[in-house]
Amino acid sequence: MPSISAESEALGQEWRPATLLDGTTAVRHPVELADGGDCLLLRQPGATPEPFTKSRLRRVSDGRDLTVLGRADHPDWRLVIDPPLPPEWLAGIRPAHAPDGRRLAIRGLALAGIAALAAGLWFGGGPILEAAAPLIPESATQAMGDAIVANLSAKGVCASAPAAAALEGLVTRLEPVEGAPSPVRLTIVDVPVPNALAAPGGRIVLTRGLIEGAEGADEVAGVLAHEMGHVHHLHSQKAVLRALGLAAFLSALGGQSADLAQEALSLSSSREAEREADGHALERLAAAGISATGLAAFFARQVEGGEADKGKKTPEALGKLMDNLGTWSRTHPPEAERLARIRAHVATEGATTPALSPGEWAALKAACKEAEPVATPAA
Amino acid sequence: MQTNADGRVRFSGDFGNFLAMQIWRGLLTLVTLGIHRFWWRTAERRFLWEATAIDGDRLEYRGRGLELLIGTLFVVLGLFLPFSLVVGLLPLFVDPESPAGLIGQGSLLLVYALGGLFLWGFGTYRARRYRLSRTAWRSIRSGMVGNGVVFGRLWLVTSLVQGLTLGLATPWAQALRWNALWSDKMLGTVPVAADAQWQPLFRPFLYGWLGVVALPALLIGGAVASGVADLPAGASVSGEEALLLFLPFLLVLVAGAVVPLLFLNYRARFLSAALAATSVGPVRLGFDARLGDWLRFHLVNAALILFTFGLGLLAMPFRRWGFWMRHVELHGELDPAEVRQSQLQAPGHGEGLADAFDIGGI
Repeated sequence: MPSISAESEALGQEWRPATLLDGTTAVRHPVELADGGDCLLLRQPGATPEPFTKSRLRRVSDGRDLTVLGRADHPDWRLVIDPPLPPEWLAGIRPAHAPDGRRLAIRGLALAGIAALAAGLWFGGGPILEAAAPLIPESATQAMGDAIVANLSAKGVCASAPAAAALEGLVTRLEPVEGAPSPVRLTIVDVPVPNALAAPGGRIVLTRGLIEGAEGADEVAGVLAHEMGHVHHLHSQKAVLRALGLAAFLSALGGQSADLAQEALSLSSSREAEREADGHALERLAAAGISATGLAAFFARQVEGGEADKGKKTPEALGKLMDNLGTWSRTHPPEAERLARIRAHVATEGATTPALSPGEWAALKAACKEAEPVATPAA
Repeated sequence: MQTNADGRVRFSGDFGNFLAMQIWRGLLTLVTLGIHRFWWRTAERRFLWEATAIDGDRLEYRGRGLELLIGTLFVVLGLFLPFSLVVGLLPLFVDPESPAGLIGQGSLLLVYALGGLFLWGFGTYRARRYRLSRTAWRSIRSGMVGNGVVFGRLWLVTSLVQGLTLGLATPWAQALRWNALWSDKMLGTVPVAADAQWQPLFRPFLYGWLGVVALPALLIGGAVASGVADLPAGASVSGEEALLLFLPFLLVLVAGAVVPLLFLNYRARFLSAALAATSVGPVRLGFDARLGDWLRFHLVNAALILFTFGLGLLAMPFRRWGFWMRHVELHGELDPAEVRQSQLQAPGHGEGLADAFDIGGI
């Protein structure tokens, strides 16, 4: 029976020397190779040639000085050919690292897993951290709040007693009887830009610019109710946890895009916080019988006059506020949506009474007339 | 072409090609904010391994970049992230000044220190294990038999002893670690044995150690002895007195140049001795680089890096690998039929800790 070698020799086959490493021992087996079209013929000395279909072979190394072939079904098997095989022989032999179905599946799964994890952390990480907000002990929140207010008071505090009394009365009117996490403590700082902010520990800071720029007591009441909403929902504590959590995660990764990511994350949740605070404000104003027209007017002014700059409410930003208190519109993104919501509420309002009596309003307006220009610690 | 003394080890890597690859991969790594580094490292190893032939057969590197990425992800998400979160958020819940807070801080520090030492050893072992499991010679895979925990503990204990003895136990510690690491290695079914002895290495180490200890002593003692401390400000000194004043500082300068040399000498001797005490089955290893070779190596490296404003760093893996291949020695032969395929289970992913701690090696 004609052997394959006799046939191929008859066909004038070219045989090239190669070394077979069978992956079982380190013995080098000298062999000869010939091209059989869709297979490579491998001949051990004194034996009949064995065909290896090219689809089962893999190119492990395809360089200028060597060709190394492997087998898909035997990962340790190697064929070393020096000098390298001509390209026609190698046609039909896939590179070793070409992704086959299984590899692609594994890669796809790995990527999907990473994406799922990232998504989980992105969406779930925030809520998980925020769930811990009520657990922060009061001593810590008071300390944080005191520190923030102390920094903001660097330029001075408006410590007028009648003004404080007027505000206290307003707070009592707005504050829900149960459920307030900590007593609200108000401070008016001597800063010309109109702004208000809620710090941990129930601290609320209003600026002179806000009070002097307000066109009525109802405006101040609206802003105050909004800030009390932040206090009620523990927004500043949650922001601290989010920022610290994110910072911890990014530093663990060796984060280089830390700032960018931090901005992005704080943005998405601060909008939620603003919406919540708005809702709380409208509810409390209604319960107290104060019109939300003032709040709407205040907002409208900010939307017109303010920059559409995206605001931030992270402690990092709070820290920046310590040096440079931005305008309301910068720290509370004024969206048409929020204004529309307030206006809709106004349309359905019942009977209302003014937030403050004319005398109280006058006292509040004059709060900073006696303000000391020198830095004083918060009361 | 770089070869060792008897020509059994040949490194035929082309420096130009290597440098080109390094620059390209380095740029890719920058652009991807570091993510590409896993594929870079893999490409580097593949280049160096495949350009190296031992007894006529090339080394093969079968590692994949993805394996390194997964390894790092495991470590970051499973270890670093939880730890950072706990450490970062703890001050919010526990007042750092309170007794509970102080105990908490103290225990965290302890965990950092001890855990860190353990993980360093563990990470080193795992990285080695991964690299070896992806290395093949004549189609036979290498590997390591252990899992790293024992070595991690060993690293911790030896480090503590080193600390307690103010560094004097270093030759002992290093020899112990070398033996533990290398004795776990295998080429297929052929075990590696290592039995480095620390005693002959103690004296070279002691010279370096004395140099380090003597430096501050010289400085302080000299200052006191020459009376610098007693001189009133603004006093003028004679020529002889000036010389006496500056002598200790001169001595410090001289010591500053000599001490690194002493340590380099110790390191050269350590590697020579350790490799000479290591064998792969019947093949005894060795390393013939002497202090002079090492000195020249480091000086050329320094010059390369300095005169290229840091770009020369890209060439360092090539230089290091070439140096090792030129100076490694092989004594004896392996019977190829006795070297059978490894039965070890190869790790699925690699080097997370080593990457995170930036543990060196190639």
